[in-house]
Amino acid sequence: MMSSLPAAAVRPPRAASVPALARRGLAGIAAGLLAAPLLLALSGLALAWATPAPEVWAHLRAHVLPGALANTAALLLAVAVGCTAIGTGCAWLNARHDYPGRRLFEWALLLPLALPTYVVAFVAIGLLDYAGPVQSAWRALSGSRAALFSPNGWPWAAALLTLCLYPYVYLTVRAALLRQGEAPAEAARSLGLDRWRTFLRVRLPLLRPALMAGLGLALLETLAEFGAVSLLGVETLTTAVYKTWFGLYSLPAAAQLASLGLLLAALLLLAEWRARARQRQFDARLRPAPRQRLGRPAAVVVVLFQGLLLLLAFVLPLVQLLAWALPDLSWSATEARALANTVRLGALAAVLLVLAGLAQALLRRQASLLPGLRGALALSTLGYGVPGTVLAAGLLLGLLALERGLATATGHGLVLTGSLAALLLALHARFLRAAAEPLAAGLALLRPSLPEAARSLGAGPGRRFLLTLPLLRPSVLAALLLVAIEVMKELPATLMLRPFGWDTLAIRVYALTSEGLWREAARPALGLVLAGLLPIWWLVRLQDGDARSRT
Amino acid sequence: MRRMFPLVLALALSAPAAADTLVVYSERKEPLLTPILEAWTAQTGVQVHLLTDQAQVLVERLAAEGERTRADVLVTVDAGNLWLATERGVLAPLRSETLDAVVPAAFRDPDGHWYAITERARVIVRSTERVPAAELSTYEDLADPKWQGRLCLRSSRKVYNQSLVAMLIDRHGEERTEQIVRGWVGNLAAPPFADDTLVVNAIAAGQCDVGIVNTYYYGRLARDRPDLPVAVFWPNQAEGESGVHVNVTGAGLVRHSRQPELARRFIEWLLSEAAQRQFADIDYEFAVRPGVEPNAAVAAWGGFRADDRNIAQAGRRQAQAVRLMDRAGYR
Repeated sequence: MMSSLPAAAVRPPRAASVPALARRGLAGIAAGLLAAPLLLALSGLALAWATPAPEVWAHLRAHVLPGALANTAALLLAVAVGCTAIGTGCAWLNARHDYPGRRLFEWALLLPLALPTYVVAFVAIGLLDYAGPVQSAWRALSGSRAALFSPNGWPWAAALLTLCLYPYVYLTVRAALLRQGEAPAEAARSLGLDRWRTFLRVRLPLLRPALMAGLGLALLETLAEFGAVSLLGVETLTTAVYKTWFGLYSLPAAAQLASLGLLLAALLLLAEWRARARQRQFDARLRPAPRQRLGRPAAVVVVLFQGLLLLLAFVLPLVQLLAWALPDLSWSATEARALANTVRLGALAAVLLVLAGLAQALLRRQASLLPGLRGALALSTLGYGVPGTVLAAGLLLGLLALERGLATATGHGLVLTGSLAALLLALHARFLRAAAEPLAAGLALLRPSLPEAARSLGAGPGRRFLLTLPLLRPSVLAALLLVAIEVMKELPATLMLRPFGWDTLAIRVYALTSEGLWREAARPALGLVLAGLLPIWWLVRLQDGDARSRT
Repeated sequence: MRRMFPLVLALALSAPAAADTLVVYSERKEPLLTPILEAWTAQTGVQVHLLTDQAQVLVERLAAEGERTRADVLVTVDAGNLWLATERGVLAPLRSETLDAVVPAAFRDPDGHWYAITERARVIVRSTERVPAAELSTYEDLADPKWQGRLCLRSSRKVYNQSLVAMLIDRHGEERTEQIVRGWVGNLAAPPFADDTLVVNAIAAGQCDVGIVNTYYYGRLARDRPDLPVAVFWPNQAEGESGVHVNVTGAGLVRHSRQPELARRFIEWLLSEAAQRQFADIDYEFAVRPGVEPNAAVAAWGGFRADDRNIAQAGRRQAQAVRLMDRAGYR
């Protein structure tokens, strides 16, 4: 049975078996640990933050912020609309319908996740600007010398980011659809609602937690995006942060400006939690939803639309990369090492972050235990919306200060910077959310009757948790793979905190592209895409297997 | 080779175990530095650990690491970054008569905190089909209404443009420079580009007639496309004009380096004939050491006179330049 009840009605009574005080203490410590890396990063910036920079701010207010804030708002709004429409639409089509080619599209629609946004942006500019093939062909045909358009400005950036980021929404909404039964919709229709109203009033509200989880990821990525928006000439809050530090030489003002981004990220998070807190819904395992077979005209439209989507978001960029890389596909030893490092880092970070994410998501359900717990948990995932360079710099400075302090206090040096541990701390601060969201969405679907039944049979909290793990398997895997993909593409933190001489593919790509050597960068970029493909393919296989195993 | 002998001898006599590696923090991108580091290791047996990142990040890192740093040498593109590192106190003055003799005064810190190791010229490029060289004269002239709808520029975010404008401010003052930049913006044929390569391509395709780029971007494109209808123009060459704006990659001794002697030898080696020859050939840049000629492709563009104002001014005035470009609407 699916039901949607007020949270209070289903909250289990307090456990009496473990002393409440100990539980609270543990929860507090765990939440503190989860938020610690981000707090360390913020404290690293705190000194800079406290330095007033009135001149820089006067300039920013007058000449930079009005445009940057307007662009950021427009970009967020457009990406939200685009990702919701495309992500939810495709998820709905592929989870509940059948048409020729569905099995291919179902996983291929996730492929754009494997491409770093700035690579797509660069390819798009190469194809679309005046000197590119599209406009050159137009000039040859029309005889006109005038430019058709200039791929520059926020609408272009919004379109591009939508193409790159819709898979987050597709992924989370599809997973939810595969787990949801048809019962509520059937009930609604039996009560006289037509298909469209059923969709609006029943299906969509039921999908809201999943939609918000995916959309939250997409929007925070948009907020922190630097490469693609600067290639497309859009000044956003994040590019303004970079300009303030690197151009105006003011780390204090840059840190202060970045905290504005942090505030925006917090607001987004609050909106999402509110949307989720108002309802709870539970897994209906009675009957998997039947797939509806699309008629021929509808199937043609669907295939064409999704084909075009994939062409733009994945195939074209990939073909361009291949064309650049083809003259020399042989891998150097350096690149092979970089590939190995990339995969290793992705796997290691994924495992650690999913453990942390699980703790975070479970604690969130216990938020009533301790005042302030919710705040600490919220804080622990805010790093996702902070420009990567600022976050990593904060952590680097924080770590160095910590090491200095420890060395003075104890006489023993502690060398974290330049070790893999420092990098993992940064990745935790930045990507915990990518791990926690799918897990929270999965937990939200668990029926409370299950742990209740276990409790009535005498199982303690640890035992009850172990019991729920198999049910969480799809969410755990989704989180693992999502984090692995994110970490492999990550640049600023890896660049700043990696051990000496330790390269990843993203760093190779960056080193070449920042000198304009795009052709030379194509080979490592291809490696990066290939490294991302495997987890994506696996991800969909697992979701499918999970859905099938219920029949 | 004669220069090598004392060096090897000195190493053999003095080097403690730790001196077998030198730690270099660098914002010069790896592919453009590694071959030269390998040559140094081959000659001296001293390994180099390279840490690349953005210069401002490296400077903050050095400041925070303080005495505990492992770094010996900071190498970075852009005089602004070198100036910043000096201001932030992370470099120590290097007193080296060898370097003072080799590096022209405009391209080193007066107190020896850093020395240029390569030069990058920022020049005007023109369409060979639509713009005769005689129509061009100076950077300043590109603000003239006759270039309306014919100029392409890279984004003002790039430090190369920031240092060009900073040097214009240093020469003409803020008011006149703002007029020039506003003139440029008014003449743009397209929104500023993300990359110098795109500027050259836009000129070749006919979107605009002139642009401002670093020579090596042009050099790479001309190598791949020998029929590229774009040519280099050396601006500001007439009597009384500034000369071509040249920015540098430079190297300095980290203040808390544990092996300053080795670091000094390394920087001196970077300015040796052999290393300078390698720098000149690696990516169409210019050697700093007098007498090391540009490679053949670069030499074919002709000779030029560089701006002889000390390039550290570009750093001092960079923030001013960024604010000015924001005011003038140069994105």
